[in-house]
Amino acid sequence: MSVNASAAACIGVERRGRSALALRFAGNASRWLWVMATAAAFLAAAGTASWAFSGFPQPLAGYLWRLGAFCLVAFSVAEYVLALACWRRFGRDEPMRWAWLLITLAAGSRAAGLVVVSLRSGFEIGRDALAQGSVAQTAAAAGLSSAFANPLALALLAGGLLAALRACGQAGVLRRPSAFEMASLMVLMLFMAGRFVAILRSPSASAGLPGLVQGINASVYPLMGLLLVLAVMLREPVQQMGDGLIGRCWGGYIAAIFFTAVASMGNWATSAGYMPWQYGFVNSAGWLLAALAFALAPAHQLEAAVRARHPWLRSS
Amino acid sequence: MLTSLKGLTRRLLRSFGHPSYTELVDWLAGELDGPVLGSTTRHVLSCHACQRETKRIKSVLERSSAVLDWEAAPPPPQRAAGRLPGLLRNAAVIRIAEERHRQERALRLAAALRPYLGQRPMSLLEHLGSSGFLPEVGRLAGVFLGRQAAAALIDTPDWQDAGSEGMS
Repeated sequence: MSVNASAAACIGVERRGRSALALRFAGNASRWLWVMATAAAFLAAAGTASWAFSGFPQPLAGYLWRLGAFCLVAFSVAEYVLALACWRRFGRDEPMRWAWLLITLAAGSRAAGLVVVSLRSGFEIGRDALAQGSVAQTAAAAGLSSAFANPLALALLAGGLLAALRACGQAGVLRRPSAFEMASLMVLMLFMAGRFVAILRSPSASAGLPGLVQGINASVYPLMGLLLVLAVMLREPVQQMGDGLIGRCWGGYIAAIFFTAVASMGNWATSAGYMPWQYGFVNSAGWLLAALAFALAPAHQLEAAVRARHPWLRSS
Repeated sequence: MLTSLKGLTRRLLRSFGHPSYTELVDWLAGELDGPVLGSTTRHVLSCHACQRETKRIKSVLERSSAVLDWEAAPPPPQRAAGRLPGLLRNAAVIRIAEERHRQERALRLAAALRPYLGQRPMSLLEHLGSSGFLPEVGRLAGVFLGRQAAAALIDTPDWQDAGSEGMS
């Protein structure tokens, strides 16, 4: 950064009484998330390379499992903090405030669920269950789903995206989905609804409170269908603002929903026996990419708001 | 030796001690008093440069007042008719200049908003033209960036009105 920009930074701190370091961090939030993701990928690659030389897979599985769980928790906590910062940047009567409030609550519920599950399992979410085979994999997938893509977080996210779409309508950047898009989404929603009904009617469905929890967890499928519809509707505003920070923000949510849907279907395919449980790492990668995209989305929004209000950050 | 020192001092005083332009204008208008009036009068009477400057100021003031008189006085019909094409031409030139200024400002704004809102401001400018661009882009930036951040980017008073209308 130039000397002038540094001087302006100091003046900004004196005048506003805020930390220039914190503002600079917020102005480059996405960069830090990418650094984190790159470091995690490097650590994973290094672990795999060391396994290739030692030829002993058991420690590697534990290492990768803990690294993945740690990344999931870190990304979800970062997402919550960044979404909270975005929400605070909107005034009381602004249309996007509601959207960011609901998105923040969704991120908070997801982060809380993941932190609790991680602490209970010692950062080895579902690892033992996975190691025991395909039957246990069902339980692991269900546990992971309920912790990460739990229905509460998805429902709140859907509410947030609906509020955002309403604001997009006010700003004149929304259009109706095409007939092809609607038809594809209807098929997908029918599949999701079918999954929901199948789980509720399955012979293994429990009665009482466990059955209720099972039913609530099963509502993840119709909610995912709804989120996919919302993601398709968000595509238009994202296309119009594609190369801007705001476009990247909502594009991040579209990517996150897509990865969550893929990982959810992967979990279903594994539990139904369509995919060997040994390929569960593909599902894990899907969850990790979804977590990264979920965290990047508010990071871009925060960058845009902070850089707009603090011109000295635009050069950095 | 003493004489040469006195001469040098006088020359230095002459070069550095001139009354300011404002003081000369006030002196001509008779608005100075007290010791400043005395020193300025003495200086102007002894300084050729200030006499030249005073004459120049005087002629400018006379020309300005003549123009003002001409503008204020109701012109005869023949002269008014003669002035009309000139006035109309000036108005057209002013209108063109204003429109060009508005377009340049809109283009600059669209470029400034591009890192935040992508190509959308530019396409709005293409569709709406510079007149309808500002309220629309203000509303867009206000919705997605927040009102305060948008105001920091679009700091024009006419947007403040348009933006507040768009928000309500």
